[in-house]
Amino acid sequence: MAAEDDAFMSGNFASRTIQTAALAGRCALVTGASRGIGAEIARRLAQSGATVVVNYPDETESAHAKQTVASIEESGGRAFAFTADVSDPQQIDALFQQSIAVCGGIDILVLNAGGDAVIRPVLETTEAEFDRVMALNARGQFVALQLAARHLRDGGRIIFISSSTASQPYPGTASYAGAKIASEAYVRTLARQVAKRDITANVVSPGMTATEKMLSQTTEARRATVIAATPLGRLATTADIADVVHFVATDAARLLNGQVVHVNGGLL
Amino acid sequence: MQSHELDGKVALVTGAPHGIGGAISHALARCGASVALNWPDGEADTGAVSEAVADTRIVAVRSRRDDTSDIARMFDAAEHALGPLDIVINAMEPVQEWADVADLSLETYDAITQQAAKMPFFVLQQAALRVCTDGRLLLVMPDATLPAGFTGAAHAGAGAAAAVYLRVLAREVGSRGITVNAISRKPHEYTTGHASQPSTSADARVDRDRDHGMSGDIAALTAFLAGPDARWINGQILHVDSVRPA
Repeated sequence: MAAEDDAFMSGNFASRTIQTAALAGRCALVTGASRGIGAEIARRLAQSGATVVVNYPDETESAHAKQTVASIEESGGRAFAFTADVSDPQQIDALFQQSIAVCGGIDILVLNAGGDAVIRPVLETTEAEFDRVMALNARGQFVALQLAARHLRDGGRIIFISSSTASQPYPGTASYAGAKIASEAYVRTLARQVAKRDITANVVSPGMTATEKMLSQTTEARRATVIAATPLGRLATTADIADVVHFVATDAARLLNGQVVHVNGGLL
Repeated sequence: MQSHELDGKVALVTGAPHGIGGAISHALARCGASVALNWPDGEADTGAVSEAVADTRIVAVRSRRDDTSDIARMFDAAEHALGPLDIVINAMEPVQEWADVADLSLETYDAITQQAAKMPFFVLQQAALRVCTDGRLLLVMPDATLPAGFTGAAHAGAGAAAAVYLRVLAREVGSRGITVNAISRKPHEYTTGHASQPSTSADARVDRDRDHGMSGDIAALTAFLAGPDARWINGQILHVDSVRPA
């Protein structure tokens, strides 16, 4: 108790592992964790003592993934960076095997990789575009969920990162929103099937979040519209999302199962 | 769970001390908050009140049960004891009586609606008037979904109404940084498959909760929603899964 008090009184808030070791001894695999929300989730889980596998899709994200690993190690945590394109079932399988090899097992799976949305009206969406969006955001997620059901340790956590677009789609988003909402249904159904091993499966659905990717993909006018419609009057930071994902990953959240937790400042 | 996440925060928790309100008060106090725990008239002290106020961070605040005209005075008493409020949690759960629509007495309907819709509305009203910037308003409420075979129409209706109150209020007070959320749960009768059986007392429900560790878990979830990590959750209802694995 004294050590906690000292850490608190000295303002050493960066070293939260002193205040909470809620995930000590656990292994977390976070897909799409090179940057943005995924990287922040990886850092937040590591702060609570988890060993984190930082997954990135390909070489273009390699430097960012290594940077995320480095920032975790600098804060006293443990992390690995492994590449896998999560629209490819064979690569997902290899990612699970690699993670189990370095950690001994997986306790927490955060499915954050996704996106690459093709914004196109239904009438104009090509079959190839439809397949690509589904492969990454639905089919690949389904495969990962199957592997989790087989390999996750008892007492584990499955967390799918969706998007407020899935709940409130707008013109152009049919293929992307459809894929995301399909994955939400996979997770909610899986929850009942894994409950007997004390594993929970939930969805965390963020609203618009100020990441590099989001800022480059949206206009200022669009962001202003979202901010005006958000009761708390701003966009989310990656930490706003990661702090909720962290809670869902802890033992204290054992009562949450098969749920969709919307994290959007009150927008929906 | 012990932390400093609610250090310096002042909370008011309505609801019987031996029910979920008591467990929530303990959880908030363990996180560093000062807590005014409402003790409605007519609730016997089963020892839960003395146990609660043995924690120096918890004080008991009386009120007239189910009386909307006494809400403002209860808030006055809490503020007088502890100062301006940061967190208000309405954890008073409605009477656990079940019947098909055709058979429910109007008296029971009125009691359920008073407890699960009207009181939460006016507790939220007072809270919205008084709570500090960046405050947290929380309801513990009945699950408003209607699974097949469930005979709690009055509860479900009141829960659905409370869900609307919190979503609208979130929009009305968001500019002050205040969030409004709820935790809902299915009645125990449903989860054990005995939805058609008549009422059980609130005491029996509390005992079952304690046996299953539910109240501690619900309290932990409530403490999370009242704390800094939940700042971006707003206008939401978190359903707790009261189905235990076989």
